[in-house]
Amino acid sequence: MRFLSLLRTLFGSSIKQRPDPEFARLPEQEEPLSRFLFSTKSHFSIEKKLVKPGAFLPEPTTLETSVFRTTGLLSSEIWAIGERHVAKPSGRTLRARAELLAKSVYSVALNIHPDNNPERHATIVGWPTEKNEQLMLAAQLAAESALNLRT
Amino acid sequence: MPIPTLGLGPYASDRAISPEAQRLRNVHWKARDAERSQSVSIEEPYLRTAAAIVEAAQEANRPNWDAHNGLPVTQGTLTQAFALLDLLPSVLSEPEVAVHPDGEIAFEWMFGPRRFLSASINASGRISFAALMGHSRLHGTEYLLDALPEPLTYALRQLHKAAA
Repeated sequence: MRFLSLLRTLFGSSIKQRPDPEFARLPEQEEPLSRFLFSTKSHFSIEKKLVKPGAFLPEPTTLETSVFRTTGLLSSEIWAIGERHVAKPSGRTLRARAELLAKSVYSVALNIHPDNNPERHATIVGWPTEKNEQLMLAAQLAAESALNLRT
Repeated sequence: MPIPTLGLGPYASDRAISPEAQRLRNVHWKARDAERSQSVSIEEPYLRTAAAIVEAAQEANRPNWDAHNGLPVTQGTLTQAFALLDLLPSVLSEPEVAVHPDGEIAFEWMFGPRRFLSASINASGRISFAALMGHSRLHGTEYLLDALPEPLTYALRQLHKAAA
């Protein structure tokens, strides 16, 4: 314990803050979620101002869809999260975000796993393995979401 | 309008490789070229969609192309997408083309937030589709044969009828 205390004293300012445990809880029905979008062809239609189903389809290996919980954040702060945690690590250009409420996820019998790593991160889980069933659910999420273009 | 073909040549939709197939392919494409020159207005949407397939595939030609661990489009999937394009009736409105995280190429008709069809094809010719038609939903799996699968025809008819 003394050793840990010494470490904190010496390096306290550079040790990362722990994620807020509030975001380790399941999102409430009305809680907003953001999915960051990178492809103008595959994730959304600028012309029709619509989010495409592909924006919500799960990652093929994990069958999870990464989202961030954005309650209480300004729009600029949401973009900053997308830049820091998704765009920068992948080297891709953040183009837009799809915004939806947690209840839209629950209403199609999918679940949200609040891993809170990094803070506010969660994944949409419970996807079926059949592609056509995934597509149907992703289409419903897309239909319930709002497109927010990055200007 | 020249179409980049990613090394497929102009015969992207043809999957046969024998000399006989090559001969038939040449006959088919000569006939198609002749037909095109007489019906430019019909073929322009075809060419635009073909170009959109290539553009989408080029955007998704490497792992993690979507920043969400998406798989890249394979040559086999690209070939099947062109084969599916050949089966689309020219009377349909032009689809948008997308790539899904699993590397499948999707044709999408979007008439509104709750009125659209997405049909994606993989390298084996499996078509996965889902349609929202107001409060009705339709989804399933078909395989690419010599005609557009009936459920897709049905969904497209319904969506076009509602949009008219």
